[in-house]
Amino acid sequence: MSPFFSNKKLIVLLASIIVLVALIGFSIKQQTKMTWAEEFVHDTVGWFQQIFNRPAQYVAGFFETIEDIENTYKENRALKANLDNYASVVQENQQVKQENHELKKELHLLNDPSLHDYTKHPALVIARSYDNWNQMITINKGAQDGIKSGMAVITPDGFVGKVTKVSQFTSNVMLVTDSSNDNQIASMIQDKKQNIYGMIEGYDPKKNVLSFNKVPVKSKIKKGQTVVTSGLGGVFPRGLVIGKVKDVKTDQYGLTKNVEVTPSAKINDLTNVIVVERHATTVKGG
Amino acid sequence: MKHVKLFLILFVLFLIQGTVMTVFSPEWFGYHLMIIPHFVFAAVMLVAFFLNQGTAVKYGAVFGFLIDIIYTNVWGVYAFCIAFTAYLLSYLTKIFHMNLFVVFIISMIGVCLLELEVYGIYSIVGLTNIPFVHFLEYRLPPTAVLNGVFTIIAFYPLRRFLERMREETIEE
Repeated sequence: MSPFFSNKKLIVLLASIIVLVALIGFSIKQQTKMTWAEEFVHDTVGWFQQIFNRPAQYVAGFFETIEDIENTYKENRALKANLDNYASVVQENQQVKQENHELKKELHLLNDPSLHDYTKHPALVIARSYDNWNQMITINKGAQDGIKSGMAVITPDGFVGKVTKVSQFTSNVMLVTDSSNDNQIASMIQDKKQNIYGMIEGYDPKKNVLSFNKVPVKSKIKKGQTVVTSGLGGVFPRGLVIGKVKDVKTDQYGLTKNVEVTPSAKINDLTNVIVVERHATTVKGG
Repeated sequence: MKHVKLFLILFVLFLIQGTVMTVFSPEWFGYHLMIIPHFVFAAVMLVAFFLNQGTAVKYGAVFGFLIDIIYTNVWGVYAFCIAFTAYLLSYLTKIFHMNLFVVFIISMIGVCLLELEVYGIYSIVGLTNIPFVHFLEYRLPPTAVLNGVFTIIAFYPLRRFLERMREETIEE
């Protein structure tokens, strides 16, 4: 008699495989809405996670401070070099803003919120999916704080991801580095003459680049240009910085260009994030 | 009472592998290795070796499902893989005498098995596009070593706790 699989055990094994497949199918299909039981689990665990996370963050913050002190001199020199431009840029910015305001007034456009406008909800990262397959973080703001699924999440450096599931006091954020199929962002490169539109889809962990696809083949893209969200996906505001162009290639059929983009946010090291709610009306399923 | 304690121990490990370890991830220090903590699984293996098979499978399924709900988008993968791997490995208690060294080796093998199972399922579902060679090179060895080291640290306290628990259940 085999000790591993007698008849009864084999049946149990097969039954559990069937349950597994059913669960996988169920959970992949059901994407944004949470049942009350799921919300309960998320909120309870989230509470414990906050307790555990704070001390760890403090210790990590201490090491970061040491690193900061080491870099201060170098940073200071670079900043001083930039400072000369600062005053003139501020002046120019103010002028442009005023002009824009007046022009809008003349056109009676002031009451419509522009695609650029958004409200910020600051949040703390309380956990991160530890297996590298799921690129997901949990934050300590939920439906009670006005978070809705689909909202963009950023850091001061740039775009990080989008809210996928919301419970009452916590929510899950899928990072741009996640390789699941529905992780796409409508984005663009702002040029002086015209905008170049495309989609961010997919991430290459080896090179640390996002791929910016479906770009018209005739568009002229230079290295170092900034890629921002276009706001045409229906949920994100326009103009959130995603990253910088690293390399440009034509795709295998020669119809579109594939652009490699280095993300500007430090996605491996997230502690504080900002959830962004846009003022323009949002479209479902964006 | 002892079951409550065991549950709490596993729950704390579950929290540690999600919060504390990601703060100190190696990528944070600039290395490209992927080290994945599977502390709950390592503890479940010790339960399988020193308490009994049924309890290990039960706890493995429950905490695996918790991991699925909290940390992943797909349900049931960790629940199945942790319970199944712990079940298979528990038969090794009949062949080997479970001392520190043997448990260390078996836990490394077990973690590799678990990683392979999860990688297999995820790549079937289409959730990962990391090539297999890359997985073997950068992910499997450091992960196995980290969890092996964790097993060494947890071995004596957990074994004492589990053996006492076993005596109690036999007395009852």
